[in-house]
Amino acid sequence: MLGNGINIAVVDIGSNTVRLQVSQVKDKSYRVLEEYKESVRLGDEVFEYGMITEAALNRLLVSLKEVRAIIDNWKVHQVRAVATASFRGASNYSEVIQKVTDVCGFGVEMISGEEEARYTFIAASANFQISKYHALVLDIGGGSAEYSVVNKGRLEKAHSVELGCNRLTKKFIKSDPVTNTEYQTLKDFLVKEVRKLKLPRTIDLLICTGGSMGNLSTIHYLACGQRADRTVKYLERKHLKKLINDIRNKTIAERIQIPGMEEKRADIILAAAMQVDAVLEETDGEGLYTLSGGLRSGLTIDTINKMGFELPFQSNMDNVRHSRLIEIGNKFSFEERHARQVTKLARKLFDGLHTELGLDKADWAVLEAASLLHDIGNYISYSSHHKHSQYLIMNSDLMGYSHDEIITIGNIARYHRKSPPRQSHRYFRMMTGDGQRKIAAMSAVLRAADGLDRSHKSLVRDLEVLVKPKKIEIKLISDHNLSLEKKKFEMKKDLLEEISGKELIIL
Amino acid sequence: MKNGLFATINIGASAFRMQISEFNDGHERIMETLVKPLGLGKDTFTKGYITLDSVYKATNILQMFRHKLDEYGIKKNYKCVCTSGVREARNRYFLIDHVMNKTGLKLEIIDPSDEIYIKYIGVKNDIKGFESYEKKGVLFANISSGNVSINILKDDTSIFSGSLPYGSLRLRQLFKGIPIHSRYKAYNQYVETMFNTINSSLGGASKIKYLVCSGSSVNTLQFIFNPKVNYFHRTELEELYERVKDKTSQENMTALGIRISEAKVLVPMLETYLRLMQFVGTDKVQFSRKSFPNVLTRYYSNNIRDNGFRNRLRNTLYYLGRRYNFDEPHSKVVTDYSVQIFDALGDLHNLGMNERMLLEAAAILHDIGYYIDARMHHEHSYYIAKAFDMPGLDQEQIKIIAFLVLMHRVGTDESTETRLSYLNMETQLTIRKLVSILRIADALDTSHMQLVETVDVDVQSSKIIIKARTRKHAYLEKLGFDQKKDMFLETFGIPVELEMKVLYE
Repeated sequence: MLGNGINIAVVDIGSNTVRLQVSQVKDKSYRVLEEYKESVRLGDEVFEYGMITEAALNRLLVSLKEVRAIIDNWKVHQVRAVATASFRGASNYSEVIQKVTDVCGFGVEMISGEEEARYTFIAASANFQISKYHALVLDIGGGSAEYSVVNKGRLEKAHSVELGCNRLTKKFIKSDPVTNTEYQTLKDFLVKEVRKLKLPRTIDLLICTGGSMGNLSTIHYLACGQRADRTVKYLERKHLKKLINDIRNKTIAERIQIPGMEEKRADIILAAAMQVDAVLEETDGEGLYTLSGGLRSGLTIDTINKMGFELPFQSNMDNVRHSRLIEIGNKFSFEERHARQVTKLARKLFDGLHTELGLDKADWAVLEAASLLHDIGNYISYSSHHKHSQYLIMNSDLMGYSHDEIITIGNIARYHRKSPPRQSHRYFRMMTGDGQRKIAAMSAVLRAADGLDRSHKSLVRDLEVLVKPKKIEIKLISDHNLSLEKKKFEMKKDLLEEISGKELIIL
Repeated sequence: MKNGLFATINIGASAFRMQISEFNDGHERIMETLVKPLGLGKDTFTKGYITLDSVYKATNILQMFRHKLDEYGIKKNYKCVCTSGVREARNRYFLIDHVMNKTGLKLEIIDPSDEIYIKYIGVKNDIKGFESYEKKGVLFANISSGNVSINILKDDTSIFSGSLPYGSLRLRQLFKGIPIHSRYKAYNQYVETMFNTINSSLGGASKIKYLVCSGSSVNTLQFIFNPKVNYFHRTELEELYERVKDKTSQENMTALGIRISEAKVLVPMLETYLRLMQFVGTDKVQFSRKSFPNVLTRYYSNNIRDNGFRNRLRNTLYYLGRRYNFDEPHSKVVTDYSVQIFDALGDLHNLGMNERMLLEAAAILHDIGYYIDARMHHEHSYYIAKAFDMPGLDQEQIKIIAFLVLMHRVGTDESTETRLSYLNMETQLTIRKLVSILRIADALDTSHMQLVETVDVDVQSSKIIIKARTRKHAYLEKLGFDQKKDMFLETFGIPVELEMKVLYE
């Protein structure tokens, strides 16, 4: 691989800290060679005066000179430095960038909150099976907080809001220890602000990045006697609440005594914790994951991408999923050729008919799985094999699909023959109305596709779907006699006709 | 069976048949056979239900049969069984109820696997040397109007058993829209797909030597060829096929002198025969001259039996286990201990050979669900066991086996209790007794390392002591035993204890 063995460095100039990560790119992967962190707290001045003061600039330059030394030591091929909220809020940011370039020899990109969210999202996808969930990735920085709503691996929405913990602490907390009024005012404010974001109710995974939340989970892990050096940590909401109550009643000096507490975060950590609690309240969540080094790993991965490489988790999510489906198929001795042919035909029908049937493009992922696995139940027995397929699908670990998707796949496979969906069927009944509608539509497609390979000989080379006002024409392309497939299609098309409300004609 | 008169009525997809026999010390004298054509299957396979008109016609025929029974003075000594033509109709219960009200005849729907099993042992008792076929490989096919039931045996193991929807009438209905001159090609293509199913289920090539067929199609062929021997040769069937394949049913009916209902399904039926011969690689289709009503009569009057069934069942279960990649040595010892404990506790459980066989079956299968997933493997074992199909084992027996494998691990939990509660009390009790024994046996090889060399069961008045000699310290076995012994006490009211002794120390 081109670029194998070369070193890259990313620098993240945040409102609180300057961080450096030096990594070596190797075999579609990378490994971290060195990390550096220095608390510079640019945000303190920026949020107060709207600029980077002389004193702040000096602190920054001292730190960046050290960064430069480390980079030189590792003979780094490429340096990427980014600055976030503190620069965005500083009127003199361009002068500062110029100064840094002069002194340190590398430029600084000022990135937007949305970009920040994107890098964090990349890091989260590298660490979590994010495509399985409806996730919220929350990066609480010093100046801003980035909310990324990720649905099944796709970034749905990204908000950058001015809810960084330095900013909030400066604005709401004046006393030490915090008074009840201050605490309550901040809490009310956070609840109100979080509500404004209109977060989806369906969020089932909360991933927090940013140093303050990372520190909080470290404190918790240490308190439970667990190793805290993991990249990903889990914090239950009840423990979060307990931490909040502990911290709010302590002075900053007392907080520093808490094992694991980073001295320079002791004041701002409360605001971060309270914000996350407000999010959990709003989304009815039971806990959160913290991911350390989110922005930096995201930046590193993005830098590698810009060099022209994709990491396996990025490029091949679909492939990983697909090969897992084939693996399951083989485990239950499926007829691979038939399965692939049905999948191919289902794809053609789906592409031509999904709007007619009220399906989204994204629904293909579940229909694909159902098409590949529709006959695996034969392994248990031929009779009722559609039900056995459903059972095996629901009990095999289909990578990359959420719980609901797996139930959907099982249902579609179940309805590939015999009875159409009925409310009396347990796993159909448990789906929402819209879910049921889609299952019916997709199983109708699968039935037709299965019928079109009735001979199991892949006789249909291709097909075209023509949607007309009152009818749908399916043109089959083949060099063979298709009387059997046509016959079977005629028998299996009724469900499709019912759902589309149009007559289906084979040409 | 006591000597006397016995009648069977068989409601098939294309005809109603009745036979009345007199048995005298195992000797059968057929008093009367009646056949009334009525194609219930035509309704069922196309519409999914039996039309009202057919229900009335069926009732009239059965009324006539009833009068016949009355003539012979037969009150209770009859069986009235329905096959796929009724079994697969949505309104089957309406038909049964209607017939009951009008004629007083009680119709029973026979399970596909029971149906084929009865035919199977009919053939087995009729063809000389059939037991050697079971070793060398035999495909037994029953081609009926609705389904082709296939059972493949090899090495005294049932390696395939299934009822496939490729019956002649079903095929005929499926392709009736296709012009007659090319319809046989459609049959040809379609029947081929049946072998995809069989092949993919068999997984690999198994050499089979004999082909034996039964079903009403045999009667048609017998009528056409009037053979002196008990088989049809490939060339005969091929010649016939060439003659009839593109002719109308009317033409074939008059040319061959068969009934129109037979003529209609002749081509798909021949197609199926020829393909089966090709699949097996033989030139002969053997058949039995005993009709289904005749076999039914002898079966229900206990005049025929199936030698070697237990052995075949055991082989088949091990075959299934290997298919699911089970831990064979573990299953083997758990089976041995189960049976040993069962035998030693005869006075305690009062169960018979049938239950012993079910316990043995469950012991072989208890961990089979691991193949699907280790998590909840007992549920998966239950699922696989429930779907197990081997002619000769009825649904009730399969249900018991399934419950035993389900409960071998967790004993009872809420979901199990709910499922158990649907069974009758005696069955529940049988299950609890057997599973208490199975759990003890399973515990004796908790480690799956066969540390226990021998087991003795010491039945005392106040407790049962399992004395195990082990190769080395069996800590896991002790632990497993302590976890699983409670159900034994709850079920039998007597505690069971484990005494372990290390042999080589």
